[in-house]
Amino acid sequence: MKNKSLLMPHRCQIIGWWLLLFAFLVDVIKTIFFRDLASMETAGSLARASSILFLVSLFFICLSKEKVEDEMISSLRLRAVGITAYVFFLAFLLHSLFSVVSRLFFPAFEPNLYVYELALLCLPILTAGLYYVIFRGMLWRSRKQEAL
Amino acid sequence: MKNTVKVERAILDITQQQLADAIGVSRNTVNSIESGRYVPSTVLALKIARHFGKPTDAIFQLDEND
Repeated sequence: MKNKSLLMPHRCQIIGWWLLLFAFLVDVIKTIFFRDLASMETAGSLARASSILFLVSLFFICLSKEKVEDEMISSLRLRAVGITAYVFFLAFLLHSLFSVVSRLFFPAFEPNLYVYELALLCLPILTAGLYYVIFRGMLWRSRKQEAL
Repeated sequence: MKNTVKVERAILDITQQQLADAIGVSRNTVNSIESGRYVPSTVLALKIARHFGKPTDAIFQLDEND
């Protein structure tokens, strides 16, 4: 009896790590070699390429199976997703409360729309990143307890 | 839930890795089951019991807290 998994094969995770390294290298090359004003266009293209590579690598790393993907790993993934959901719901709640309070007590306060847009753009990356960090932490803790 | 996986494994004289390979999980999972940190699903419990040639309730028993 097997439930169908939505995750990609483990080799996609390895590809993801290589892509992440490549994205980092592209960013380093951009920072070191294209700093002057004349190569601003090339630097912009490299920055876009680096960010796309980063997104693709994050997608591959977060959504690939482990070497041995069993039910305990699946339960850890589920718990990590749950904690991520809690964190973002709490963050959303706090943000809403802050907005209401700031409007009540500081009516002159104008929220920065650029920050909102940036937060909206970063949300998928933050979600995936937080989920993966929590999942890895749980896996590490489980292996550490095994060693004890 | 308490279990006697460690005892059964000692009787058969097999390692955690051998048991893990036989039932298709990682060694970490076998270790977690043995130490009671992880309660396996029905399917996995049945696989473990079949591997040891014993009924499931001979290996897995309910705890006082369950």
